[in-house]
Amino acid sequence: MLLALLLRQDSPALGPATVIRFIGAQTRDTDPVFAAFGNALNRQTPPRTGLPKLEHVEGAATDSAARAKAAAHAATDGTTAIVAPTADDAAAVTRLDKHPPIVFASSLDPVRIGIVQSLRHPGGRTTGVSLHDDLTAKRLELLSDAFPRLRRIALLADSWWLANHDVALEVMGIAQRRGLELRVLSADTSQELERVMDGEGAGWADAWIIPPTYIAYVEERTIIAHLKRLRRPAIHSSEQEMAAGALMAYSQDTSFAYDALAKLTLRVAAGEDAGSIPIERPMRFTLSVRPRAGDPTLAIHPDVIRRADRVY
Amino acid sequence: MTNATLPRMTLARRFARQIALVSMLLLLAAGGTEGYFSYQEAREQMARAQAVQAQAAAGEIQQYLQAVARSLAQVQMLPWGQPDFGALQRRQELHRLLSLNPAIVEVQDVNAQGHETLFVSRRVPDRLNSGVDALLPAATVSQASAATWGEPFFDDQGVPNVCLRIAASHSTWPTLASIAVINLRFLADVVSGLRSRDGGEVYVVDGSQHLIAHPDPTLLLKQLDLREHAPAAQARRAFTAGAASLQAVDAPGLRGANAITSAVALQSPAWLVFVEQPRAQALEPALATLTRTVLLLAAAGLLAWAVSVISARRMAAPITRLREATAELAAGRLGTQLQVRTGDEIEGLAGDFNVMSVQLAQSYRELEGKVAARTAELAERRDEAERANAAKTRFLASASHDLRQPMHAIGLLVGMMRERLAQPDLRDLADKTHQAVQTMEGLFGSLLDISQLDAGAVEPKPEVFALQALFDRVALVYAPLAAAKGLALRVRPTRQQVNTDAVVLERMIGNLLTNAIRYTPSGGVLIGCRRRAGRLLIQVFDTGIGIAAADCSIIFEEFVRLDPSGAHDRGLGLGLSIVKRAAGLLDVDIGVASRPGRGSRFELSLPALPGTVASGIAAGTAQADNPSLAGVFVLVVDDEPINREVTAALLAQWGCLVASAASADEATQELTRHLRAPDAIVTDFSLGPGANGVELIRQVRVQCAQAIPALVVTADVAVAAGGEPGVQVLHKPVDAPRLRAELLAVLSTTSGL
Repeated sequence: MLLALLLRQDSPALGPATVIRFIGAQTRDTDPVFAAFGNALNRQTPPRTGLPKLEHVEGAATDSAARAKAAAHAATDGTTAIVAPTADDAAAVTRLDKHPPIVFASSLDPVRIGIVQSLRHPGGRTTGVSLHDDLTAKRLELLSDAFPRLRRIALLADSWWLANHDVALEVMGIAQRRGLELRVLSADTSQELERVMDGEGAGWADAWIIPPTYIAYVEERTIIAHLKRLRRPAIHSSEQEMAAGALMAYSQDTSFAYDALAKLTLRVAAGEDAGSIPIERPMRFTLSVRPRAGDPTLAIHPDVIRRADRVY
Repeated sequence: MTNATLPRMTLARRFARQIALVSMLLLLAAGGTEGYFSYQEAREQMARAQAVQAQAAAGEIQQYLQAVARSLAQVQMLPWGQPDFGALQRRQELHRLLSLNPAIVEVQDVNAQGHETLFVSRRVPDRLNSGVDALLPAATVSQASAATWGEPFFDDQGVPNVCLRIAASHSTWPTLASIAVINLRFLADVVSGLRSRDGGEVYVVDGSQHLIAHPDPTLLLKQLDLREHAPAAQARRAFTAGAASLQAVDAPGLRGANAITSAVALQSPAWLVFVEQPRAQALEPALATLTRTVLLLAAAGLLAWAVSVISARRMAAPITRLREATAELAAGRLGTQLQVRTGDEIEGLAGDFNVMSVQLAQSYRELEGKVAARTAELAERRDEAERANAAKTRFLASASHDLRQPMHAIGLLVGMMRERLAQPDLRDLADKTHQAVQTMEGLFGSLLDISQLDAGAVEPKPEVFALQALFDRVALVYAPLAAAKGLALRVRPTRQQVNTDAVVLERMIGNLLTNAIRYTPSGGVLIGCRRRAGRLLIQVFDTGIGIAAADCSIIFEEFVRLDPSGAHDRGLGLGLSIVKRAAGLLDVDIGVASRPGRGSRFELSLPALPGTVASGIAAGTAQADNPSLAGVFVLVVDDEPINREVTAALLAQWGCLVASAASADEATQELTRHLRAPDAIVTDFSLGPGANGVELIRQVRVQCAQAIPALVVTADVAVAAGGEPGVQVLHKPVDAPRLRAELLAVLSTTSGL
């Protein structure tokens, strides 16, 4: 029995005063990301192991000063690990002189924005999952395949997304090869979105590409409504947009993110060096289409429908 | 053995311990052997089970890879180049392939030149006739095998991939082969599903010993090189040597924790499939077996202990009863009988014990009878001895009293006669008579003293008194004797006091002085005392003939005289014997030091008392002067008429005024007829009916209101002054010179009273 007890000490365990601080963009009770992470943490905590103490630190979505303040608060003494659900939150913590280990989720390339050294060896007591999306060119190809007569494509993004993507490098090449004209339309706020969707550019475009941006996330229903009003096809980047009525989407499967984030948090809280844990990436892609949109001008080419992974 | 000396460990406890020890050793040996083999067996079962798991996992992985390859091969089998099977259709078919097999992330068609003709992907835009190089080297691509697996590689995001080449089956199509890029992270889904229920994990290692499939994606993304990993290295060596599998390697696992690992090789590609279990889980059945064995061993041990205790008590019970019976025998309860029914040697021993007990009781009774008879006989003899001793004591008392009375009278008469005779020839005759009487008195006194001491008739009466007074008295008594020999008798003044019998001590010192004066032809004799080491030493020095060292040990024996020449006044040889006996009576040590021709030193050692008496004692030499007693009024009281008359006549001869009486009442009556109080009282102790001598002295002192000095002259050696000041007790016989000296002594020492 004693031998068995000694052998069981192989597995790492959480300390008695483990405190996880989660930086959220909303209040604790209204933050769906925090709730989802809490559920994942409960799922991933091994049986007969005490749950770590999970605390919510309210940050801000766009206010950098508020974000820095939240990062400093999250990094106070007694914190075992910080969970940063966005790249900006993670970057704010890494800018502190001293901080606990960080587990992040980022829709931007974490290497490009400098919060890790590489995906294989993150370094700097930081690890997480990268939900960075580089499927814009593939979406353009799919949109072109779905509507072979298209000639003018509008790409709707916010300035934050544009600052972290090289559109010319990623999309222009394929557009030219396919004889397409691409125009980038930028909107950071609802007002700007309304102006764009009502403007001259909206009328110019034969179709739209809606990459995974913050404006697309918060204004998905507005965008879909405008597109229906304009009777223009568009390819989106998430299943949530499809559920909201989008015509087609090509998305990464990010359903693993919460569980992965929770697992990484538990490992880091148990003492594993965060900087030595590689960054996980999505590996599944889903093509979703809505063939019966009710508008003949939005009829998707049958070849694309046959390739679809999911049909609405 | 009595209860007071019971052993710390009883026989039953010892038996129990020995039996339990043997039982436990046997159980330990059996349990240890059983545990060891059970553990080994359980471990082998675990190893076999893990090998089966590894084999099953390898089969699953092999099937998965074959399914992927088969799906691509089925695409290749379509009639490409025929109507409706052109390039667009092929692209659509390849996309359908990607949708059906998410692990296939890209497919590349290559022509005979090794250039790309079509490229479809889930991540990046498709390409048509791009002419880029094949994903696999041309040499590999040109091979015409049905399915060829390339070496796994890690893409720019660290994800492991592997290329699968399937050759085209239709020569009419420009494509020579299709190369599928398979994301091996999807293989992790397969191995995750193979995770054993007891915590084991399945992982895959490629030919270059890199981890290419594992349930933990972060572990996979680390691109682990396992060439130094013990299970992987052992597996590779074993499979290179032709082994079919590797079973139960006990070594640190991929995460560093202790683990048991088994491996199986895939047929194609040449990968190794490992099943790794944490050692704790892997060995849990073996440890459970071991635990059960230990628990059974403990239970058996407890049972063995209980049985040993019961058996030991049964074994020891008759011996214990025998011991208790022996203890009763030892306690005096003879005849104790023991009932033991064991049917073995112990029952025989109990029978022998019963016989012995009966015989011992009988012997004891006989012995008691003999002892009683002998005791009665001894008691009779003791009573006889006591009666004889009492008779002896009575005789000595009678002799001491009755013989001393006439001897005392004779001495006084001879002394008085000596002083009255005027004719020289008659005086010489009287002197010789006086000397003969003195010799007889001395011999008689010494013999009586020795007899009394030997008979225990003298009972010491210790009291605290000043030594100086005793020294003065003996000096006064013996000064005339010393002066007669032309010797100086000196007394060293002292303030010391002692607690002992003054009469016996005075007698001892007197004997030492007598001896010193007798054997000192010239020079002097000194008496003094000193403190040394808590003792008080009374010392008598002389400048006499000395004693040879060899004779020092015999001088205290009776009738030993060391002057065979007879040049000196030889005594009877009893003085030092009396000193020795008296010293034993008073617990006084005697010491002697002497040098022949130079002198001797005798010393008596007594316990010293703290403190001293007041000063004022004059030092000096006892002078042999002859002071006058003329005019001294002396009251003489003695119930013996001869003694009274002789004493009165002698005192009158010395010029004293004498009043005599036969009793205390007569004495007090007599004094009423005189106008002055007597200067001294000389009285016998025993005065017949009425007051004794000491009480008489008290009455006269009260009557005259003066502390009149007194001499009590008695034949009773047991009489003492009783602490009465100014009273000196003399034991008869006392001759005239001594009476005169003692009278002068009391008159001088109590003159201040």
